[in-house]
Amino acid sequence: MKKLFNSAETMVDDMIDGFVSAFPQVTRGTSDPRVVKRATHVKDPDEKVTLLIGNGSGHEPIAMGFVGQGVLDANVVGDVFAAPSADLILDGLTEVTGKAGSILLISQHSGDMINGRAATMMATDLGIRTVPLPMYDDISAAPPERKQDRRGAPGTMFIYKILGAAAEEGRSLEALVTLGEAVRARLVTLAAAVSPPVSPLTGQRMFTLPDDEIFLGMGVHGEPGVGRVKVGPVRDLVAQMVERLLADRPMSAGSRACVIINGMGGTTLMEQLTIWEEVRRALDRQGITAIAPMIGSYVTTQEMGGFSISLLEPTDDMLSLWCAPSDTPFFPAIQMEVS
Amino acid sequence: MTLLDGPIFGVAVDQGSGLEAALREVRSGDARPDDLLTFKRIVVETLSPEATTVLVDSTLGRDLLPAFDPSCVRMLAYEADVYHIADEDRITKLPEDLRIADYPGLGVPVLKFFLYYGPNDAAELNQRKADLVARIGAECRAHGVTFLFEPIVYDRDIPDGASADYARAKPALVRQATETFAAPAFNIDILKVEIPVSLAHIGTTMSEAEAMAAFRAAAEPAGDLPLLYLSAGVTFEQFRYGLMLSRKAGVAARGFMCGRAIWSDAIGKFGAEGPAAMEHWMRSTGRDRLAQLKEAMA
Repeated sequence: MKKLFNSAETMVDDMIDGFVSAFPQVTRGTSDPRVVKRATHVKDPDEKVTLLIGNGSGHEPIAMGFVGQGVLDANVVGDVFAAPSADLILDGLTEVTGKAGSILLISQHSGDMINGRAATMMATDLGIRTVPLPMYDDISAAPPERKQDRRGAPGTMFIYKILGAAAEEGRSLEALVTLGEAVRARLVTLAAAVSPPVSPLTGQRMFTLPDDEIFLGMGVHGEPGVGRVKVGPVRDLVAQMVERLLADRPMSAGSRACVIINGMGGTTLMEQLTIWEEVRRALDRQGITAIAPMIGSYVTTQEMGGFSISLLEPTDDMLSLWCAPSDTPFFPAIQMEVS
Repeated sequence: MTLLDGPIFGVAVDQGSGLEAALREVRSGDARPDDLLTFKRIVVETLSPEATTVLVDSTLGRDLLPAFDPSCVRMLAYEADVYHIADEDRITKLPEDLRIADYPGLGVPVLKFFLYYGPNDAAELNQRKADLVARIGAECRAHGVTFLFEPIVYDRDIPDGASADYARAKPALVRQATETFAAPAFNIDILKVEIPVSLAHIGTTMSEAEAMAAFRAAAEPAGDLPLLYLSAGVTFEQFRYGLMLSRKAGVAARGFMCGRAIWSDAIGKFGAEGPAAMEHWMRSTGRDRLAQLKEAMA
């Protein structure tokens, strides 16, 4: 498969070069070129809690695309599909943390968790006040009674944004951690994979899928899902997915659900908008109002075909923060009301 | 030189057939019969000046002894092929051409012996294993050889070592093994044990606080016996995190023995770019990793 890179050795740094030169909201860190941090509207880190995350590259625009006012203060960029090292994360923490402290968001995957926790420990030794916040939302990875065993999926973007907006308001480290845990508890995601991605490192497909089947619950790196369904009208697929999501975390009639429809890289906006509408109708049939949608390809795995549905039952405070303005290269404006 | 007086920051390169197969695969058409020896010699030459001790295997180890830095304590494994077990009893095969009595003459003051140990196995089997360890301990004592023993735990009822069930069981298994072999009757001088928690499960199956409690509980039966942690095939990042946790938990471990976590990435270097590139990598990244592990326990 053809890919448009200079070399495997430079592809990540070449991408970051392009990213920081294209967007004024971001700049490289001084401690390490793999640290991408806010360049505009930067607040005093002694006054404002900073938020950062480390993650493997290859999933853009997440997470460096969300660095900027109202979302993340920094992103530590690892190699392709590989968690950044603990030392690199420590560089990021050192660079942006002040007296107000920082939260290291960790999308729960083994390498990210271990390196993130090690970095937190080293930072604490250096007198840096930081708290790790594991994020997990993929209902296919573990049953509800073992939620803490789930992996991070695109619904974690709710946590980024809500905490980012709350930190911008000047809330304390303790209050933000409590808020982050509350968002996590109200959040569920389920994905459907249609076609495999091609690794930029090997040029090979990362897994195989029969032409007439869709895998439910597959992770962003091709982690095993919960079942297969035959290709058919997308409304049937969406209805099944919404049913599973609500079975996992029931919502009563009359409640509201914020929705993220995330394309994995190879699924078109035309398809995503269709999916959103089917999600909205499926929720409506349960008496649940879909609001404040985020629709687009934000957590991608190269050209992987597929999408995920994330639902958050927000408190009024969470909803307000979810819809608060932000200024980052890729985080969209969220409209509270839908027509 | 003795290992018993200060901290022990050791490197292990006693892997046999598994490492040989990995090298053959990465070398492909460039494979040579002496690749395994070359690889190990580079590890010994580059890391022995920085390590307290380096562990080598019974097959090639004697050829590697001249490559040791004079400051580094030589340690020789007393197994036919590490992790190569005879049958379902999982009793380590002993080398056919090496006797414990040979160690002093070879200039090797420390013997390492590894054994799979299932605390929940049948008492008769565990008695046979205990008898073997005691026999080796007695021989070491008779010949003035320091005895380092490495029990690797398992539970036959939980075959998946990566599972959450095993993560829950592991702390008790490691503690039981430590408790058993800390008895003076075995004449063990140093215990080399696994990190007592499954690092990948911290934050899910157990909290970090629970993990630290497990470190303390597993180490407590060792008493005054020096305790080393082994890397057991985890990545460098994972092992370093494990050592940091042990320190944070307040465990007074004497140090570590680390193998693949330091040099496994050198296998690819050896295969892709040859021995000279691997040596360069070991002198920079390999030594840096060893230094970082020392720092993690500091």
